[in-house]
Amino acid sequence: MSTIDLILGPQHPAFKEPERFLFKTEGEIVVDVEPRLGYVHRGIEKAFEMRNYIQGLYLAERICGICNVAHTLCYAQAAEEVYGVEVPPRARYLRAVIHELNRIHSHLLIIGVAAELIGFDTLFMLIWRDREIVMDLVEMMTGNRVISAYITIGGVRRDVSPEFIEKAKKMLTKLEERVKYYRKVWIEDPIIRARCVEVGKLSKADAIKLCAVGPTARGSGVNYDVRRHRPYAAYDEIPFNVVLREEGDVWARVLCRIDETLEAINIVKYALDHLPSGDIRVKVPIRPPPGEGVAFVEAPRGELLHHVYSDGTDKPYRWRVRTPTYANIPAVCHMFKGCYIADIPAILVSIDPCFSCTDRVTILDIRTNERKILTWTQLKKMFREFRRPKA
Amino acid sequence: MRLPAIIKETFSNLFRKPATVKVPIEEKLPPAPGYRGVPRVDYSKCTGCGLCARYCPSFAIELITKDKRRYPVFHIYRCIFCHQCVEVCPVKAIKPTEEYELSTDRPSDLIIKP
Ligand code: SF4
Ligand code: SF4
Repeated sequence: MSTIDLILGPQHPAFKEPERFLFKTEGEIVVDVEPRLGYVHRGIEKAFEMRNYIQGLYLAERICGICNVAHTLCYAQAAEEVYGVEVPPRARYLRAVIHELNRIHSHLLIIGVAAELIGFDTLFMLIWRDREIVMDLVEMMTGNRVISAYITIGGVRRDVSPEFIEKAKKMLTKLEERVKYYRKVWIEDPIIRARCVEVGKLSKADAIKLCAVGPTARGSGVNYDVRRHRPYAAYDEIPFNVVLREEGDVWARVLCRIDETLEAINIVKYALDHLPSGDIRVKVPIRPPPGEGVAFVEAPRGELLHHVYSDGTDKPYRWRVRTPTYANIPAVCHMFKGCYIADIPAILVSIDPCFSCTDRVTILDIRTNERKILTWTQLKKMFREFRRPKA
Repeated sequence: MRLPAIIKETFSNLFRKPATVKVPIEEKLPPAPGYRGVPRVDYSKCTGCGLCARYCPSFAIELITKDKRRYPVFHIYRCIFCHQCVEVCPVKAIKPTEEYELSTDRPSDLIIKP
């Protein structure tokens, strides 16, 4: 049987960084996939070399708007290693708080989007409504809903007041109730189970072999979490569980995120209860000594790495960033093999890439050179109308 | 067969008020206290040291020379509202505000100069 090429991307709503995927399909089944990365090379690493360390902080924040705290935290930790400064204990706790608030909002976003992609718009709207609770908290704490600009080299930029702590705990309790309800829906709902269970399987051995990170790996039972295995901020003092699921399908990966959200709420509450007193930052000079710094952070999507070389001037000599979605590409390519075309969006969303606005898909028949162009809406419609054959 | 858990929630939402508000026609949502808005500089306090221009991550501050001294000019259309300038100013000449409604048909409104 001849194969048909299906090109997704580079501008595709299901990707965080626009990337092009070429699917070789036989009928409805994907037999092979070729990713082509680097479409939106923004030159950020070069841009770091043009800015001093403080300016770079705001650039790092813009690598990814959704997990902006993970990026600034990782950036600040790498820079602190070069500067050789020790962060005060209160700042370490506040960093954990904002990092977890960021994780909650990122996870709720992607759980909602996953629900939308499998055709469950009600759940999507409800989750996004309740996500506003954590957005309001971030705004109260940092001064902006999304781009928080909270972490700085040597500490954090604002302190929290006792009133904020009271209010935050109340709001988080409300959110926790809601998330528990969504967990129940995700586990029990027959439509969700029909769409997600046994779709996009990734076995534990494959997850290790393909170096998957974050909830993608933990959904396959790989016990790896940077917060546990290379503690940073205050994670060595805060008790928390690493959420693991054994199933390794789309359903398990999303459930893993729901459980991580609940875990994050507990971490925030614990950290706010046990906040040490004292300074929130130490000042750093504009010029660091020459040296090298590496930092790992568990971003909402997985392990994130920043690596810096300093030559003693006020600007870094070289800055290197490795983001989790990049590390998950081989794993997601493996998941695609043998899936239905209609399952592609669900599998993509399960590794938590990002969504832009509109896209189209070209279906190209090589034999006849016939092109079919599908808009994103049509693809989604096709996906919703498609019924998987009963096994 | 059991009814899916979402059904009850869906029906209870039929009789609720919308969670969204019509901004700015019916209601205006005030930002939380401490919201990062436009930075406003007080030129009578500014000493022209230029630190704010040196630290601004989006190169929104330009130093000009007028009457034999330097002044910072803020190009707000480039500003990303990070308040780094507020933080570094040694004489606290830059005041943070909570203004966020900036659309205008005159670009000159978005330049703060002495
Ligand atoms: S708020 Fe930030 S971007 Fe805006 S002028 Fe100040 S330093 Fe520059
Ligand atoms: S840092 Fe303050 S004093 Fe210095 S130029 Fe800017 S506004 Fe003026």
